[in-house]
Amino acid sequence: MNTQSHEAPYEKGQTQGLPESAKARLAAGKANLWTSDLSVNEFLLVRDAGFTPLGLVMGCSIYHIGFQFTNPWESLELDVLTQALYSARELAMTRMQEEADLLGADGIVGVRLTVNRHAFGADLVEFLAIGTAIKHDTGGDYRTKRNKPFTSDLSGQDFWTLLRSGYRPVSLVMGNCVYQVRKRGIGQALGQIGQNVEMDNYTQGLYDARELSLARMQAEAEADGGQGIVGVEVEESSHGWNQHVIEYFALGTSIIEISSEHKIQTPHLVLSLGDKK
Amino acid sequence: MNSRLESILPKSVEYRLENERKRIACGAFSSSLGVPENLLARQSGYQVLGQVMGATVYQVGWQWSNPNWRNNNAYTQRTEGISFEMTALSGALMNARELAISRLRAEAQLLGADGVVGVHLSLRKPEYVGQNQIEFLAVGTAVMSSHAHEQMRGETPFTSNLSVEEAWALESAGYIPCDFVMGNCVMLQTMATNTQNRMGLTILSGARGNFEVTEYTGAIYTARELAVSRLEHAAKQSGAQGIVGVQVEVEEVQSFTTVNSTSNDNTPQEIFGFTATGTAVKPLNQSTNRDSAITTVINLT
Repeated sequence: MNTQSHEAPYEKGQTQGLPESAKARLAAGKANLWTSDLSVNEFLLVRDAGFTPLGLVMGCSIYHIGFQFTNPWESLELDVLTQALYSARELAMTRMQEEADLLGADGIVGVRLTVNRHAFGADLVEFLAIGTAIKHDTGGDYRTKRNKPFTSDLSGQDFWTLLRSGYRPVSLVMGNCVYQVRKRGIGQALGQIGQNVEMDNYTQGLYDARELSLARMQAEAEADGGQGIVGVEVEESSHGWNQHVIEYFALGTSIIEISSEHKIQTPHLVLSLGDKK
Repeated sequence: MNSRLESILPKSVEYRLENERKRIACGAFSSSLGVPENLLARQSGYQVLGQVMGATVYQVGWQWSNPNWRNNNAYTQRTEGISFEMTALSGALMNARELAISRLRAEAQLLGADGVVGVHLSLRKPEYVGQNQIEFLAVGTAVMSSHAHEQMRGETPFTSNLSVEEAWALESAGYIPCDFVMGNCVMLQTMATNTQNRMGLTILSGARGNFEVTEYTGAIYTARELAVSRLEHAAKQSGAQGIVGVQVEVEEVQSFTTVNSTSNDNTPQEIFGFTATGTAVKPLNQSTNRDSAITTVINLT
């Protein structure tokens, strides 16, 4: 099992990737105003869970995605591309965590990790991590094993429910795999014209790639001491490559127990009078 | 109509709001809120007064996008890897937004409202306006608070993009909205020579690699940070303690003319623009005595 090499040392208070405007904003905002992309309901639930929002934090990286020359008749992982896309996300995440540390936060909730193409040239993509930095009212240690603030892509509602049921989020964990699916041989393609057949090159390739991305995500969770991962999603995308090259990206929030009781109060049944939106 | 408000609103508004005031006097109202929202509004002590809006059609001026022209120093400086804020663009877009919101607020004030909920601000580019011209339209529902927190009744009505449900939940927890706040920034960044080489745009280049384009990262990062810090500045101005529901969106800049470099300069460049919006809130002095214990439910719809 190859885990992804991203063990760049992290120190609380480092500001390597941050522009001056970020440091200025966080220094000014620290004293007397919090900003949050949580909705009102999420904000109130986070408050109810004993946390105070400190500020909106973000990190981004614009990356040039090149290509990797390979033999098109072979199914294999394009490791250079995998590594490049992973590093770009890692850069965005780390910068967001640096911002949170400047605010003195315990962690970040509601993180959204997105890949954006603006009006750029075809090969340029932006990786963006954005969320709300929060701090517990009475203190406590919420940092990860690598001494980073905790991160989670859970909504305020999920965050509240998770804490109530005796768990807490540790870190946003991710794994990816860029895979090239081999082309069928000419003889094989001709022999299969007009038939109902399984495309075993694709089946096998996509299966492998998905498994690899999930396994890497799990390895990352274990490294951070997580006991489980919630809200996992596996996303499939082609960043402008040909149709034989695909990236799988798995993302979830790793959690650990904070008590041995895992009960929530019995839910009431309600019939909502609100508009269905 | 008081003369200051009159100066920023068209005549037709006066006529409509006059009628609206008469209707309110006999208990009628118009609102874009749904039925449950209306009921909750009444239950929680808000009187819905009516629909209010503010609009402006605005022409966005020219902006030199060649750093040399901008510096009045043509052909002498390098043009690679330079960034600056396109103040004509960010200024125009923010002025137009503020005009729309201030008219909406003025309409609400004429109705005697304490505030406006559900403010929705949209940028429109109708076919019939010229190139470089845009319309900003702000709509919302004016409300009056019958339980009258003195704090809520500022000199001007509060504005917020919250629904009545959200305003109610916020107030139950001891906060009130004070203003719909905004901030924006549009940055231009030209590509560095080094990046051009690595991307294969010049003769010197070799392989096409995977790498971070650091100057673009810096510019897009700065554009977002400045948009958010201007939003935070606006919130501080209105005496807020925090901002909820912040959204950072891509600013619509592609459709505006930038006056480009003239002759000998082919440096690739990108324009990054962002707008941040949110509702500034402040804590209530007196505590509300509503029971706001949280119950978990399973929704049957």
